Amino acid sequence: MNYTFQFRDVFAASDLLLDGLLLTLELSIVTMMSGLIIGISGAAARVYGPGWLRRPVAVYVEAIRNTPLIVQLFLIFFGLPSAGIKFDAATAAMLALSINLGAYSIEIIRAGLEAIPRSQIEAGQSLGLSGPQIFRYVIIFPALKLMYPALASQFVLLMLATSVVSQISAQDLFHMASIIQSRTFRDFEVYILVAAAYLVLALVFRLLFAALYQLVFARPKSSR
Amino acid sequence: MIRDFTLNDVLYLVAAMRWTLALTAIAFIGGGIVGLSVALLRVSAMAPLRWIGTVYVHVVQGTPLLAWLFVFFFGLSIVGVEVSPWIAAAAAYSIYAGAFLGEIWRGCLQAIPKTQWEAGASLGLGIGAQLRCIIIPQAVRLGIPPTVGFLVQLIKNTSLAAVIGFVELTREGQLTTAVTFRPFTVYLTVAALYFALCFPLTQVSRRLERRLHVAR
Amino acid sequence: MSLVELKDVVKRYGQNQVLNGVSLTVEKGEIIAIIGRSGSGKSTMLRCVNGLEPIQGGSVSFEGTKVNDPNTDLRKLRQHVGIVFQSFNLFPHLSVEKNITLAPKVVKGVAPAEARALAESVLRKVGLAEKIDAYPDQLSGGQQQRVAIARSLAMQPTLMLFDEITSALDPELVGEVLKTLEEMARDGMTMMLVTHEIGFARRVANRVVFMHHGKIWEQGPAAETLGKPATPELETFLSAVLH
Repeated sequence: MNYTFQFRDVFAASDLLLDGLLLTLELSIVTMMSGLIIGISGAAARVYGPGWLRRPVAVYVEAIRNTPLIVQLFLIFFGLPSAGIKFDAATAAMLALSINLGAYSIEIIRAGLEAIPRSQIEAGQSLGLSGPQIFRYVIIFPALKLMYPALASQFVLLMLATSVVSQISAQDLFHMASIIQSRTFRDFEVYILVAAAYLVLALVFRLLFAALYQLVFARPKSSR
Repeated sequence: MIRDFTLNDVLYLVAAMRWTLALTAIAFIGGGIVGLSVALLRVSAMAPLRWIGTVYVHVVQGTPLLAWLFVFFFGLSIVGVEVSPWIAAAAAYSIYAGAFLGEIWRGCLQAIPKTQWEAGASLGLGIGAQLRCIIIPQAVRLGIPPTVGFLVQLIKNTSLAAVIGFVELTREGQLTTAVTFRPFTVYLTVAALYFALCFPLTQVSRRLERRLHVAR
Repeated sequence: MSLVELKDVVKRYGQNQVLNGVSLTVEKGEIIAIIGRSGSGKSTMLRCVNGLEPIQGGSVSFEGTKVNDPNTDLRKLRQHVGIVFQSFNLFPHLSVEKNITLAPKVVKGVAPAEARALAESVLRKVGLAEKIDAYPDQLSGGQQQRVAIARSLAMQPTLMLFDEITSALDPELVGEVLKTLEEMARDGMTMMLVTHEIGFARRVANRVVFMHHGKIWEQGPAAETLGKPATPELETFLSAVLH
């Protein structure tokens, strides 16, 4: 075993890695935003919606949560074109990831909504607030605050899971790694480097989420 | 040569599930051993041990499972160690599952009130006996629902082994697609098979969780 | 027309009959104390008045509007009926000011600057003007309950409902809340209050309603009814709570 590590060739392709990093970031951020939107509206439908709406939402959540992301991705990217619906790799990736994260977010936010005591809703009703007003001003904020840690770690897991889109040749960070690998044959170096890049990304996202919590949910210190 | 997607193909897919299950079993056993060590490190009384546990969890939970699979499969062979997909997958999944199971089980250990340790200590039990006779039996009850829940994650994530050529359910689906050119039907079938594996476990986990809440 | 009219109200939870044909009228300016054992239906009756509890029989009306009519706009009706709960039910994520101004702003469209002034004025009434920027978890139970009262007052209700509002408080905090109620009584607010504070009921209420087994068992002027109960059930109840 006399292998010498050599990062030079790998670093020479840093522009490729940077491009990949950008797509990974873009995928992550767009997916997190759409996941949150799907999560909030889906959870609202699941908990407060009419019966005919609750059932399909539940089916969506269970279908996604009990099948692998990569199969969902293949179904959208390879499967849908045979039904005449075609996407490029990046769009298919964004779609699959959003659908996936949306289902997890619904489940998390639903738990938050259900944890809000009924008495809070009654207090809102008694003040003459409408259902949507109660949801917006009374319920959603404490519910999101309660589930923030769970949502944040789900979002970080999603960021890592975006690496799967390399399997449909979307040009994300992980895909770029395999391109560099096939050029340089520096497998070990490439994947170690990419793993480290994801680790840094995960750390950055965690820090950002912590800062966001302070910004949105922590109350101003001067208020006492 | 293109042929139709037939019942035979479905049967092949069903048969491929056994490798999905085998991989899950290996990952669970390997991950269980790693996870138990991680959990014990994380609740250890010695700070350096706790740090090791913490760093391990953060690194593994901060990197994609895919990266671990590639490092072990492509990486090790370059260093001169020939690895079969089995070994590479077993190693990568044990590392991955170990971090998540370790965190789940740590949470369970720490959920047992301190007074229980104290009660054990005041009966004259040593640390080992406290763990064995008092803490672990209670923690296990707490730990079963989330562990079953993680098993679902594990089953789903074995699909990633397809990328290193491990022929389990997803890879079999890719192979079937290649000869039938019926990706939609094939992947829908694959998804349905995963669902058939995972959904009952999800329900069991949920039911156990509910029972635990009622019992407390 | 009476302000509130309950006629033969029946309320069931499954097999469990909670209200068993309750009839009661409340005139403007009256202060009604509702007493009785727990489970006698007194809180349920109160919650029927602003439509929080759907009923299975009879009718409830407020200012001539039927509360239990599916065509009634309950939101509109509730703007005129304030309720204060046993467990305060302040919104934990909103400051005192926001708790108070939320409904005036989003329901009545009061402008922000005006809303702040409104919050200040109702807080002065409950003696908590200095707490306008505090958050609920920074206040004692008594203060939270007074904020809850202020929040209701900000909607300028015609009728106020109080559902055992001192039951969750530490004994030393009960006084400040009762004092606030007495001041409201002096201002002429129409109030219905479910309470265990018999002394307070005797002092402040015009009328006492004693509920038993989901029925109004006995009612009358406060001093008389509490001083000389007509039914053995009220007598037993009073001796149990007073000793």
